[in-house]
Amino acid sequence: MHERLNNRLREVRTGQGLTQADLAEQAGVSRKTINTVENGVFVPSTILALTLARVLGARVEDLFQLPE
Amino acid sequence: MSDTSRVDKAERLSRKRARIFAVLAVMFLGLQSVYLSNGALTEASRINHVKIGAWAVNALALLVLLATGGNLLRGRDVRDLLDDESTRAHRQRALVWGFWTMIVTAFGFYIIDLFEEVTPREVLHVVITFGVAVPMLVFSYLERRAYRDA
Repeated sequence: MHERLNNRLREVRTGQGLTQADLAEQAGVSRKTINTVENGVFVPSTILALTLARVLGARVEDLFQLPE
Repeated sequence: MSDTSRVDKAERLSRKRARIFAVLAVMFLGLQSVYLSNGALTEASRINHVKIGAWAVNALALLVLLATGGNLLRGRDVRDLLDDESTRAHRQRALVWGFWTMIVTAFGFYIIDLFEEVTPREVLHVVITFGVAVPMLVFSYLERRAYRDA
């Protein structure tokens, strides 16, 4: 089973002109959580991944991918 | 309170909590010299009972702090951010570290006891002390690391 998750969260977020604090506020989590997800330190739960996708208007698959 | 200020406030409190946890854990460990060096754990006296009582209260207070994350008097919205998904994951990892630390310490005493007599109180004191302090230090480290490269 994969232990890591590739993500394009930072890319999509900055593409929409949002700061980590903006995204944290809209997703209802701390900025620390956004930062650790973007840095690949923390693998988000399904609920958080879906929340982030909804906030950013993207599909979960566009934000998170399993490593090849 | 606006959402942005709520996030900012939670971040300030979270960073402060991480620093405080580290300081409290180091102080707690440092205070153990009082117990281990002058027979407070082995000699029955009123003053030693007071010392041991103070240690127990201190350990329990730190455990409550670790389990709840503190900031119990803050508003619900800020507390939710202070105990969000990554914080809970950090706490979980910290508690796992605490568990293994206690197991290794207990095994250490098992071996030491083959060569030198140790009292149950001494063993429990050291195992509990490490079991409280190590998770607090690990939690503090993980929380502080989470803000790196922001």
